[in-house]
Amino acid sequence: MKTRNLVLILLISIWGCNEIEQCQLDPNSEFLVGTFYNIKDSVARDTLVFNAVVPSNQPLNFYDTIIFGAFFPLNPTDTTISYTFMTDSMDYQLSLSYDVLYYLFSPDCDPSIRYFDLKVVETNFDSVAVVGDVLDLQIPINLEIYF
Amino acid sequence: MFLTFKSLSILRYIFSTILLVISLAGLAQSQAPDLMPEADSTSIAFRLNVDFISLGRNVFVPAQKSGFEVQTSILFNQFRLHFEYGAQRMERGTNYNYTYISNGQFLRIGPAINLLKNATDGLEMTFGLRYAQSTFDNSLRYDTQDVFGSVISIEENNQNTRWMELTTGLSAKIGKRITMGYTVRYKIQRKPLNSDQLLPYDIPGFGRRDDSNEVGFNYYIGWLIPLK
Repeated sequence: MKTRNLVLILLISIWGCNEIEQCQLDPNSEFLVGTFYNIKDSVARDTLVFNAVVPSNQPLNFYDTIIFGAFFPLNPTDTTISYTFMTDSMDYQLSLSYDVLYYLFSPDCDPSIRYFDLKVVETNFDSVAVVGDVLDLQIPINLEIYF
Repeated sequence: MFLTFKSLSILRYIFSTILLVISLAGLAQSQAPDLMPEADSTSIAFRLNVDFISLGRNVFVPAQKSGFEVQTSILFNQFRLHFEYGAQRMERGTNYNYTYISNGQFLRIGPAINLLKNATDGLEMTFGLRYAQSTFDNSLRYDTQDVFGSVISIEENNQNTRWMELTTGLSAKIGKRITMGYTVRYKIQRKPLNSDQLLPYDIPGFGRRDDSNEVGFNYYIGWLIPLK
């Protein structure tokens, strides 16, 4: 009985000392978070249907349906990006600029990319507010888009 | 302009260490009886040390870390003036989909004092200070495998920084002119780096960038040339 308790305590202590995976502590995010609101009453739009959401010069389509908010990837080898939100009636454009910093958070993880100083360069949405100019997991929303 | 609590602690630590070294030196001098004639009390020598740990890395982990480090010293009675030079290349990410390389040189200069002035067998126990400076290049190549198919390839060259070191060491003669010993370094007060896009991970001569203080260790084999 005593030996079994000792082994149990040993196992618990080994599990307790198990290090948190370093990479999970990296605070940087590779996606900006955009949320959509109705310009008339500033109420969050719950479901948006697009024909496509595409970044400029890329054969990619990120979304056809967005529920309240969406994650948009930034290009780490550039400092500007434009998205086109296609609908049946019109296309919305959103151009952003940002700075990039690369570093090793830990040599056992992929290099970390810090996106910061996010700014709206051009848009035909009614209003776009940058509420978090750094892509960080602690910052829940980066852009509030009103139309 | 304002000193932080941490800076004050470090300054207090440096001040205490200097006081300790001075008081120990004074103790060593007060213990020295007039056994030797005044004319024979001055000894001057030159010493060249080579760091065996750096050389060992070239043999055992040449792909990850390579370089060398030499130390030249002028020995004047119990006082030493050290000039140190080294080069270091670090490569990381060989088992991942990135390659990070830091490559550069470093210099250190500073005094030390031997607290075992009267040891007759060449035994030395030293305390000292160093001013150190490092200049290096670093580069990153990273296949992000993201939706854009981005491959990052970036270099930042001629990065430089400086710091101070508190050192202590022991060495002994293992032959008529050959000495062997170690130096432990506590590296403090590193100047922050100005990086545009790539923050370095490894700083040659210092260690990791994200550590404001580092501890270093050298194991030297030296050649002693008496001058007087």
